[in-house]
Amino acid sequence: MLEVTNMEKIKKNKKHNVIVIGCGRFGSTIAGNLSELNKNLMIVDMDQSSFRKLSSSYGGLTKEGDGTDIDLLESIGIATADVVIVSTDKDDANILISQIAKVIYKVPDVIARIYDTSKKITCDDFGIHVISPTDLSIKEFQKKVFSEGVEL
Amino acid sequence: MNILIVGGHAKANFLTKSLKESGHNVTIVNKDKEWCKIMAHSHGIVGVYGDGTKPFVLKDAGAIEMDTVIALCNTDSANLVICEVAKKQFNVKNTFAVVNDPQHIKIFKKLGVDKVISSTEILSDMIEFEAVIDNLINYLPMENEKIILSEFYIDARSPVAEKMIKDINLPNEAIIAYIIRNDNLVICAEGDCELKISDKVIVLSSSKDFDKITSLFYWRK
Repeated sequence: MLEVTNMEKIKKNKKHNVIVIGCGRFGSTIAGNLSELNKNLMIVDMDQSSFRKLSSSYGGLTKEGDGTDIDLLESIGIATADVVIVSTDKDDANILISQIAKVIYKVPDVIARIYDTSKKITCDDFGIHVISPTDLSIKEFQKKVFSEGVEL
Repeated sequence: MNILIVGGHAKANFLTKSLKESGHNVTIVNKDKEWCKIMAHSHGIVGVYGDGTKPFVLKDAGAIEMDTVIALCNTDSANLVICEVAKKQFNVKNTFAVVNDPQHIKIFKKLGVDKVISSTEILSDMIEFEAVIDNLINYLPMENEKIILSEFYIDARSPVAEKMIKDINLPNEAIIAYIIRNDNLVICAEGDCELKISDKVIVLSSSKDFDKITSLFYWRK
């Protein structure tokens, strides 16, 4: 869960329209958290059964379909989204969708999850926020080794 | 020129053959190990086995030396990643992608891919013209599809058959350049020329008027 002080900040923020593409563990948890903060949520996944992962308190909308499909993105209002979070299980799809959101529809904030750090270069110069689980794990590992006393 | 072809089976095979024939240096990357071997043997080229969306695979294939990279994978997103990595990491000048979704053509171009082709779009254009428009013999778009040169056959069912050119409501920007009658060219500068059954006409028009033009000459099945 998010920390309480940050929650208040996010609640007051006027950015309300949030689209999450990819309802895996990451996407569904983020969507659940933001939904509790009164954001207008829309979550997209290819597989209807993925929506079971959403918490019971999730108050947003769900849409079954392919996030790389322009017609689908337009139908869920990507043009008026404040934040788009792209978290499907495929790096290539995440790269394509986040670039469509940022470059074509000028969404102010686009966050993309990219596992393969060597592919982050594709999102350079576009102003997309990249989350790299691999980088994060390495950082955490180094923290454990260098400041938390794990001996190697 | 040094050309790298990523993905694709039959398409890669055909392209490799024709590019080799015109004297280019071709390298291929493919996820299918057996196919890499077959291609390398039959064309005498370098075949690199691996996932072409991964930068280190492209590096192994010598992407930095390439003038052109052609992405033929089955998924659109893979082809975008290949072209962007080629451009941004290896400074490849020309990138070429094939897409399934015709709506991705514009997007890929805006994202920096130099040439984008959709086989779905080409196929649907062909089917539309072949199946629906019986009377259309030739269709040639020019200047980024702004101008269309077309050739129509006039039969008894054509709305314009046996009418004078001045009476057929041709859009202002369209020109009937020639009429071909019994294999002879009939040049008609004036509007008082009759369109006869079994004539062929050559029309030059803007693409936005093309729907109007077709509705004059063809009948729908």
